[in-house]
Amino acid sequence: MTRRRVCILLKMRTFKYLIKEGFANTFRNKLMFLASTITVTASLIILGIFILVGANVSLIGKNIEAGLMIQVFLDPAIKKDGIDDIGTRIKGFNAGKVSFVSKEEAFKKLKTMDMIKGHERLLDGYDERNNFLPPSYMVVLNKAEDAERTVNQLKTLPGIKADDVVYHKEVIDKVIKMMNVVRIVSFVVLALLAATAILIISNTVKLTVFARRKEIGIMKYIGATDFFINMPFVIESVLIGMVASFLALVIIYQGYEAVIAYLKVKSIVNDMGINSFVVFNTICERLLFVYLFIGVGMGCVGSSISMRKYLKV
Amino acid sequence: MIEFRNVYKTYPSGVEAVKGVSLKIEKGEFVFLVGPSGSGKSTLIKLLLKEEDAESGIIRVGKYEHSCLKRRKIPFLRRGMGIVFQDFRLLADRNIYDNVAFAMRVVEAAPKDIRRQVPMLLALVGLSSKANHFPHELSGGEQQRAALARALANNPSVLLADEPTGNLDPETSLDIIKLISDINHRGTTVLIATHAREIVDVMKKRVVVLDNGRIVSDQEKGVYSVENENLQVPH
Repeated sequence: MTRRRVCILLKMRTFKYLIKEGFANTFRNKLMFLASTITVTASLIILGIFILVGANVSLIGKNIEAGLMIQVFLDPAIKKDGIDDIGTRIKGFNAGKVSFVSKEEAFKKLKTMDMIKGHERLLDGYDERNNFLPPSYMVVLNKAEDAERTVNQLKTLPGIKADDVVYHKEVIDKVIKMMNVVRIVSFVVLALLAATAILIISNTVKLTVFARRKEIGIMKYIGATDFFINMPFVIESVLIGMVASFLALVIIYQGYEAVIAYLKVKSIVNDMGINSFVVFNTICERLLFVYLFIGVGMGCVGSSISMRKYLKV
Repeated sequence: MIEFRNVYKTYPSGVEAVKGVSLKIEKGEFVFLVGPSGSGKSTLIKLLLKEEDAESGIIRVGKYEHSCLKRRKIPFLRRGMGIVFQDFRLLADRNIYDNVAFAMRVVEAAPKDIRRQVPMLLALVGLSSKANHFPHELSGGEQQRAALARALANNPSVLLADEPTGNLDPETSLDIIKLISDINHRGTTVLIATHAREIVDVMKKRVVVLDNGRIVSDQEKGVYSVENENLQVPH
């Protein structure tokens, strides 16, 4: 309230002067600026590393989830209309990508399966004409959590018996459990790291304010308003936050690319069955947003709060 | 101009710094506030600046009545008073010109006025040639002159000085006080808290003697006088 009122009363040139003063302060206290920026950058990098690790873990999880599917076997004697009807109904469940596997396709697939290799004799006498395989629908799930619901819905379809719906319940359950654990752990770690970053940044700001408590006192004696004293500090904090955010982003970008290149060269990744990484560009914006929010936001809030103590003169 | 009416002040530590002070200073007066350390001189200055709040009693400076003054109005109270301290309190990171100009920027003076007023003030205190120097490049006396120029930047009606000569040699001290006296002749009310007996005696101005939080003597054309000797004033 007070501040807003003072702000309106401030003349434009005072505003300009204060912004200039903020930059000048930064220049006058080069060392403090450097030290603060390094500290803030470091804490943002640590936070960023975890955000990237978290994003990759969740990508791996998503890849696993995307591999999960449900197969619905249809009556071998079913007509074309019936197939289409069931197809549209399944699509209506909105559980994932639905694809139709015809009798012929199923037969072709069977012939190329690993377990048939070396036992091709078993299929002697069978060809496309006396194909014994039923047609089926495959539902590739979007989310593992949807499995239970979708299976139940599939079972209610006309002409589908309970054991026509096939899926790997144990695998899906395990994936769901694992994903939940990962989600909780990453949330907790992220929250802790964010809190640490905020603490470090507000502490850094406190230090810059403390280093100039004498000046603040002098300004108060001359009759400067709180806003007048505060403004240059806020600008300085914003500068520190912005420089640190961009520095951290560049460093973490270079580091991330280097690590991924290393992992790929060493083919550690393939051994672990991981075949894709989060592309930095897709997460860049989010990272920058988090950085600016924490770096700049906390700088402003932190400086205003830590100023209060010295403004009470 | 300045009025204390039955003012009491006890610090949170339990020290009773001011015990029932009543004092009236008219516009244009020149008043020395003397007394031993801990007699309450500095507390009175702090009360005038509303750096500390009185426990009871009324304090008035110009149109302001301290007990009714909201926190956010304090800067405006202080703008009406020029303040000089023992330790100068110049901003170390900018030159003398900017130190003086800063006081004017605080009150949002027009740049045109600042450009006109600051050189005038520096000329008044004899620092024209040092405008571009930083405080640490100046002698103590010069720094105090700069502080005086800053205190006068906004044409205050009151000039407060808390031991303005405490860090200066006697000769420089006298120069500073004479400068303050000149300023007084131009109509500014002056209140100086000091220990410096030589100066008080030479100036022959109104002297208010404080001891143990009370006013024990208030004389026109007073001296740091014989009857004060038994107060064991350090000097």
